[in-house]
Amino acid sequence: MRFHNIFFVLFLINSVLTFGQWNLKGGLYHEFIKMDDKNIIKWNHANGIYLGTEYIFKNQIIISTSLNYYKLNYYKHDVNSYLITAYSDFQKTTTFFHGKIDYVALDLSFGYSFKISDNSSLQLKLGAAHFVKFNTKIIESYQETQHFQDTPDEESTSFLTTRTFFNGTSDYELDQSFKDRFFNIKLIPSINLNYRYSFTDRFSLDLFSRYTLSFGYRIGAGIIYKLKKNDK
Amino acid sequence: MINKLLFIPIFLMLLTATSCKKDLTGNAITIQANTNVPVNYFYLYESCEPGPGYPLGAFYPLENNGNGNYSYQIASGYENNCFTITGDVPANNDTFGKTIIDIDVFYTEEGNVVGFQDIELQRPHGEYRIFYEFRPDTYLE
Repeated sequence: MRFHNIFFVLFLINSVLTFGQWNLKGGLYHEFIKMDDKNIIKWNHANGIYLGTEYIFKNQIIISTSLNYYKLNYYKHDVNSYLITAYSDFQKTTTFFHGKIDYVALDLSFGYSFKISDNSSLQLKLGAAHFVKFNTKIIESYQETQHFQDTPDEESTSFLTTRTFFNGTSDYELDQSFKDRFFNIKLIPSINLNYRYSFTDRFSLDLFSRYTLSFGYRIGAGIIYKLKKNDK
Repeated sequence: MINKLLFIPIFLMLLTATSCKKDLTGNAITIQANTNVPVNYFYLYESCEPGPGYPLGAFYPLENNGNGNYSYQIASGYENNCFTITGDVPANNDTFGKTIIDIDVFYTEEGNVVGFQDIELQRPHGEYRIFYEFRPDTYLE
């Protein structure tokens, strides 16, 4: 964790000092996260803000970096199949997690800007983000295990039921408990499509959509402020 | 000048974000257990390290308050971040009903839930061994 922090700070210092004439951008977005098929809850949601810089070269190549702050309201509820165990003939395990997970992510992307008119453009970018989970607030979390002596049906009563609070907050423990991608994600690639409209010499409106592997689909809006006019 | 204006908010945001991680508080913890049958024993171990049949380290019996109620207070200032509760439920030959054991662990002052385990055994059942680990750095706010 400490290494990540140092890495982030050094990278940001380097980016800002080296590319000090980039445009400044900031905005908000909402993320739609598709859960896997065995999960009872199909979609989760995250909100985020970002602050970053970018540069558009005269050949319309874009390089962009941003610092993101995510708040993920995360539900996970799945029921494992019945399993034959040494203790009983059948075991049914239900896991439930509701928590708020916060991330910071450093995003770097490259792409191309297609000019539509003097005031508007369409941008296609490929990128990757480095995520660091820094806070998990658990609201409800348990695992329920039911043991049956025979093949269970709707009338069956388990001879042993345990309902237990999960006992770990580390990435590893939560990842092991839920076999989940959100507690231990690192570097994630993405594809971005932006529409930009300049309404003054300095300010532009940026509407964007994005597909991020593992995180899902994002839509958002932001403001671009030109610190210096682009190269002619 | 513009470089500095750019850098400062990003740097402050990063510092703010990365300084929110929870640490072990070491605050006092209360353990309460309720059963509808007398158990043979309830012990608290000060570790989760596996030993020969039981966790390693010191262990203390939960106080029997009568009527199936047991309790223990972990004093503030502890440094270990994992505890284990073990217990032994005797066999029950009744042909109906359930044996129920509820264990609740919470911060004494704050009331935040550190953990719980609820057990239901359909009767008749054999001897059952309770084994529950909890971590004070995990709790419901």
